[in-house]
Amino acid sequence: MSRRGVVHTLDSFFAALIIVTALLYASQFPRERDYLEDKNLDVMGMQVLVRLDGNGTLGRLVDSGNWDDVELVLRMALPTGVSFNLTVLDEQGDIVNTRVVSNGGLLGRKIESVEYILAVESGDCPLYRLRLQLGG
Amino acid sequence: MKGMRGRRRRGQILIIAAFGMAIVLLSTQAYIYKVSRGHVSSGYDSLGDYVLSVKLGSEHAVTASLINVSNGGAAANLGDNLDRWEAFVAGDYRFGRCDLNSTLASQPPYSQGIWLDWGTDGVGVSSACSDFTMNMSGRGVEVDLSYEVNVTTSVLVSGSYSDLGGDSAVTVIFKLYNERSPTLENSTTLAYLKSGSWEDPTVLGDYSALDYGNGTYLYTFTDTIPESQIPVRVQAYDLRGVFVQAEATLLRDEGTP
Repeated sequence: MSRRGVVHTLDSFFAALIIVTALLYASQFPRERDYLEDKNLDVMGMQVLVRLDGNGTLGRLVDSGNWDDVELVLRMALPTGVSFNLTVLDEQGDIVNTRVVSNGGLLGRKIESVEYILAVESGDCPLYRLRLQLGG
Repeated sequence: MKGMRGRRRRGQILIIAAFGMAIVLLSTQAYIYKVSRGHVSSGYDSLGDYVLSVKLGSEHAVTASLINVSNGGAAANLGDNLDRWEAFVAGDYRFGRCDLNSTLASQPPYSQGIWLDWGTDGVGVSSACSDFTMNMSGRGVEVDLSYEVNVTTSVLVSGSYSDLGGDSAVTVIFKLYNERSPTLENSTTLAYLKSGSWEDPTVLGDYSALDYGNGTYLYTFTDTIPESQIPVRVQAYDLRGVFVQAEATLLRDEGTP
């Protein structure tokens, strides 16, 4: 009689353990999700570059070689938590940025890259290819 | 014995039922999590932004050419710059082959895509215009797009003068437009014709310039000008760097005695 009782108790204990374990696992699913998970970094990068290029600002900054300001506008335009590294190539494919344009190196679980072709509103119409790497 | 087996089965059923409930719980939670994830069509978004970037680049290339030509460059620069831009775009295979073709506006008043009319009737125009067709194919993408890029800076000059007993009090109104919308100047040079030579009114004591902040500018000055009609010339750069010029002949204000 006491053995049967022990077996019943063990059965119930295992059953309860299984249910509790399942509940614990289920509670581990994130309720609030970071929007950066849903947003593709390459899409975000392209949209930022298009926005900056809309009024010619990006082209003027790149063409003047003002890398501090290029870095500043990218820092302002990209969300916090996204790291970036920008490489600027001229029409012949040579790198023209004389210093690293980045907010501290590429960090994050996901690294993506986007390329942007740029024509500058300047007398001789210089053309550039921007390679923006993003981490988040 | 039967009773013992039945109890064991009841115990097994209890555990199996617990497993079943656990699976249902976990799969429900996983399903809710999956459904909550927004569907992100990154490829489509990127393609739209890419097409937009090519269109923006075309506009910048036309604007750059107009800056060049309006500042004394050859009209052929527009075609040369657009050829370079087309080749640059063609070298980008992100979504497959991309063919960009430009056709310079050739209908009058345009020639080689350029229209410069710095007239003496109070109107000045610097304009560049080109049609573009963009075809993308490959990698599951088919895009056929046509668009026109017209970059125009125009200026309207008007005014009058009143006779102040030998001196002429001149009023000049100057309006600047980008694509027919009022815009601000970057710099402006005003001159008036006196005894056959262009004079700078800023050296006059009572010269004043008023910026209305909406693309309209008012200049006033007084000088002794023998002619009964006073030609004035406005040379302006808009914020893009496009140069435009217009001349107008000012007549005596009929309201003055």
